[in-house]
Amino acid sequence: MAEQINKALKSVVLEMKALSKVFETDELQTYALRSIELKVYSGEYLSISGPSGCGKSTLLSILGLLDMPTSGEYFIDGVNVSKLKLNQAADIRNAKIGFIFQSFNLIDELSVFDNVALPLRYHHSKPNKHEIAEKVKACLEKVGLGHRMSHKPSQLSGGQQQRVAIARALVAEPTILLVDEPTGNLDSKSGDQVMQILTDLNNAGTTICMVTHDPRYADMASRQLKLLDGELLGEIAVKEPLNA
Amino acid sequence: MTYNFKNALLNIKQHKIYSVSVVATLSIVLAALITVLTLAYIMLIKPLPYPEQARLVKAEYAQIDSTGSLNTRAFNYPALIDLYKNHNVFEQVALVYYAQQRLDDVAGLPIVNTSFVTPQWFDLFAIKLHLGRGFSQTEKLDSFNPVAVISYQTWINDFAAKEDIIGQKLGVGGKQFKIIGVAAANFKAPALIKTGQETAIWLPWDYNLTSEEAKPFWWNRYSNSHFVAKLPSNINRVQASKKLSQYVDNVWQQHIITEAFFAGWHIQLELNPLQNVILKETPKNIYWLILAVLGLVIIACVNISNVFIVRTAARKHTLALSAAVGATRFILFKQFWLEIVLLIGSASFIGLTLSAVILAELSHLAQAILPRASELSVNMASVLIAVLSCLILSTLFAYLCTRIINYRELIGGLKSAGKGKTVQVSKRVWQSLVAFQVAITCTLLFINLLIFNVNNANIKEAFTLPIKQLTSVEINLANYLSANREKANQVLNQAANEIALLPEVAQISRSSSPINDNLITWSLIEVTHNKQVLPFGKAVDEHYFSVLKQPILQGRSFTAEDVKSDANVIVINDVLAKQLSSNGNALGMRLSFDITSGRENDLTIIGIVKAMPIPGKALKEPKAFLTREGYRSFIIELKNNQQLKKQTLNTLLQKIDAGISVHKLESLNSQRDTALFRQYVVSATTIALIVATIVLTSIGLVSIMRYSVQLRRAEIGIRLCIGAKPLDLFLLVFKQSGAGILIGVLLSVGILFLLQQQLQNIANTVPTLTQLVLFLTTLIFVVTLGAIACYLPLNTQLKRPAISGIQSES
Repeated sequence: MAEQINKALKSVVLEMKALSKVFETDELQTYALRSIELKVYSGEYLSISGPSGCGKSTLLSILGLLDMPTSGEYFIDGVNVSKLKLNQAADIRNAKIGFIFQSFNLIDELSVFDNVALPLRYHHSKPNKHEIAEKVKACLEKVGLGHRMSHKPSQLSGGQQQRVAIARALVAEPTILLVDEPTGNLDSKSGDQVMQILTDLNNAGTTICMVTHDPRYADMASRQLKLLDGELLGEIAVKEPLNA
Repeated sequence: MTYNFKNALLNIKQHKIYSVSVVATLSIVLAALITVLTLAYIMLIKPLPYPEQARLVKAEYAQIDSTGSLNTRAFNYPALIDLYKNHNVFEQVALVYYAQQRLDDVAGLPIVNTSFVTPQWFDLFAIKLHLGRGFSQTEKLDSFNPVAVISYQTWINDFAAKEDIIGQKLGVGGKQFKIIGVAAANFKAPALIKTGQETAIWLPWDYNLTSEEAKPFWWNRYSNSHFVAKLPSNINRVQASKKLSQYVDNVWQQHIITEAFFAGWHIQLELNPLQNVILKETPKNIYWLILAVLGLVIIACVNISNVFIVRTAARKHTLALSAAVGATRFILFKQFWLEIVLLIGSASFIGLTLSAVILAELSHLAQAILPRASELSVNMASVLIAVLSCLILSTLFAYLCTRIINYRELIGGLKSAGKGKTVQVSKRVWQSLVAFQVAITCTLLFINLLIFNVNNANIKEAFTLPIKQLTSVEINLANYLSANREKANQVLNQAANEIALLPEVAQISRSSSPINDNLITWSLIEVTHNKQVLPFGKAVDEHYFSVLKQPILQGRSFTAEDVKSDANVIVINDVLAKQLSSNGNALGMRLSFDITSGRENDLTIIGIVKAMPIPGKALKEPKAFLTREGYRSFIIELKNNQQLKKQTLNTLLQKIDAGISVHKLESLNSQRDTALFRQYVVSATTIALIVATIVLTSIGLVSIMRYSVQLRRAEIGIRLCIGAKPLDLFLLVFKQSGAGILIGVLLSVGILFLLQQQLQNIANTVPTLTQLVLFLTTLIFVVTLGAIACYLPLNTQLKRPAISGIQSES
């Protein structure tokens, strides 16, 4: 009951209504997602887990407007974003969503600073050089890499690269962080460090939606969802999230 | 080897789009290359089909005036004969006089090209005979032996290939000759004067048409007579020219010493290699064509390189397997080479076949504008070009494919497959490919646009001529009229008057058509300031300017009285007027052919007409018109929608005098089209080159950019994820190709700068501003092409879900 009251008090950041994603070939229709009903609340730490091929990444892609649903509706901050044009989707991705991928996805030719500054360069507010520098520096310091700004990604370890990716995801102050297997390419020590940063960010109020198949990290979320064959099986409430 | 061969064939068969795109692109480009290089071989390298042709020269009698300027090049009759008899330098010499004469005994009285030659003509050009004999000592100078040799075509066309032709009589221009020989079918007479010129009948020099009055004259502005010689092996052209110039000048000075007009003049005997005389301006055009086709070859090679690079990248797994089981870099090179040689070999074969068709068509269609056109066909040189192109390009592409493989990575490629590092092309290579494409494209497009512009302006101008209703008629005169000029003039005047009364006819001028004029320059002196001018001169009647709608800018045209009285008046065009007076106000000035001949012979300028554009000529020339009726030519202006048939005209002429008939009736529109044939060919060639350049460049740039975007899919995906819009990504890709495009543009500016002098020769009539606009248009076009090339592959990726770029990479 307390949980329900708590949720009702918080605003809904993301909402999916009867959302499906179907991949079609000449002979076959495959449901990657089927009638998904989902709400993500402000400040929540949500994990979505399930076996390989269950639709986790597809769900995250649609949540991040990187792919479009076949049917159903999707709202971000109450705005229907199911059928946006390319430029509108890009604006929302830039302003409201921060991505963290398993394979870091940093641009090799750019320095750490430039990688982190990239979302600001596409931002509608067009911040000036000084503002960009300040924000980038602050974000990199937050992930403990303030001293690596001029390095190239290839000069960093995997854990450091993922922390750069986190800084990049945070720099435009998004409404939500979408995190896809953040520790998949890391050793356990680096993985733990990254997860601690995410927990700290959540504790500071950042909404996080994370896809993972690692139960240990899934347990760190305040709410866990299980996905199987494209369907949400139900919620596992976590009384006290584990700390990394 | 057999295994590799089978493998290569299988690869080609399995990847049809790849194979077809390589073979199709290269077939077209190699066809152009083989055609142009075969053309170049025949024009520039292959010896003329005459013995010791390198030593054959044509002598030109250059008359240099007192200011040191060339006044004209024309032999006078006595100087020509004197040089023929007393040269003391050449190994062999021959004279030729070109004419057009009627065959009196052949149905339809055809007019054919005749050449009056000295006997050595047959030796110099090694004329083989199909029947009978050529000229010999029995036809030497002053022997007056009335014999004739006919060409093989004349024998076939006009004498039904009769085997008993030798000994038969042949009437030519009112004189009887005995046929003593028929030239061999394959003999090609040298076209000394006009490209495509043929000779139907050779007659002895003694019967040439130089009038008895002209024979003693030591000055001349025009001559149908030419002097051809073979240099001895121990003396070169310069030495011979120097020695003979001294001699001919001495002789000339002795004979004109009493003529004050020629004070300070001298003669220079120029000896031009026969090859240059026959080829005229063609080598320059061939060099341009070679440059243009090489440009296309480079563009095509860049495109094909791209196809091979993509293909190599696509088969990295197979390459990794081969490397893992011990294939060295050289073995991989051999595999590539074999496959590529099969593809390019097919393209070369198709190119050679296409080239054979093009050359056969050129040989047939371009006789009038292309020297040695009859020799055009695929030959050993063409085959050699095809084989060499195949081997060079195959080796080049195989080397490129091998170079882009990171052999060390390749060996470990099986375990790290998917990382995309085993087969990669550096940014520098991509930028070089873009830069090359852009540089060659800009250069080719600009030059072709410039040539097209100049040419098109000329064609357009020719179409502004008000000649729609005009017809040119040339009259054939019977021998008795030819021999009596006064009588002929009377008959022709009567004919003109009666033609003017025909219901179809609006008006008539007894003048020749301005389009086919073969005018000579007149050396005129403006008597007040003693200023010499060299306009082209033409004799016209009082109706000429009216019929041609040529506006009189100042003064008046000729009157019937001027014509009748042979008045000492002259009309000039505005080009000549500007030469005489900077403000063009030359009315009333007096011109004289010979200042020493006295005031009574001065010609007063009574009118200035607007210069007419002459089809096929780039510039408006200075012209002067005198009041003389054209000898046997009419220009008839027809009433609207009327036609005049040759038969109608012949019936009328026959009623006037049985000795006159229509030789040729041709509309001026048709003459204009014939005169513009070279321009049409040039326009078609430049359009073909422009289209080929655009198509090849578009394909090339799009494929380069497609691969470049493909390599950056992950980066584009990442940028999309963090909020980049399509425009941001387009600018990113375009900016990164920008360096290549910029280098290309700068390179093209450099190339054009190097070609500046040659371009100036082509485009001297095009204002600098127009040239600048053309260049900017080219630049904008190429940059737009580059932008489209960036947009298309990017758009393909943007149509996919943004996540796909990242997913495929991870």
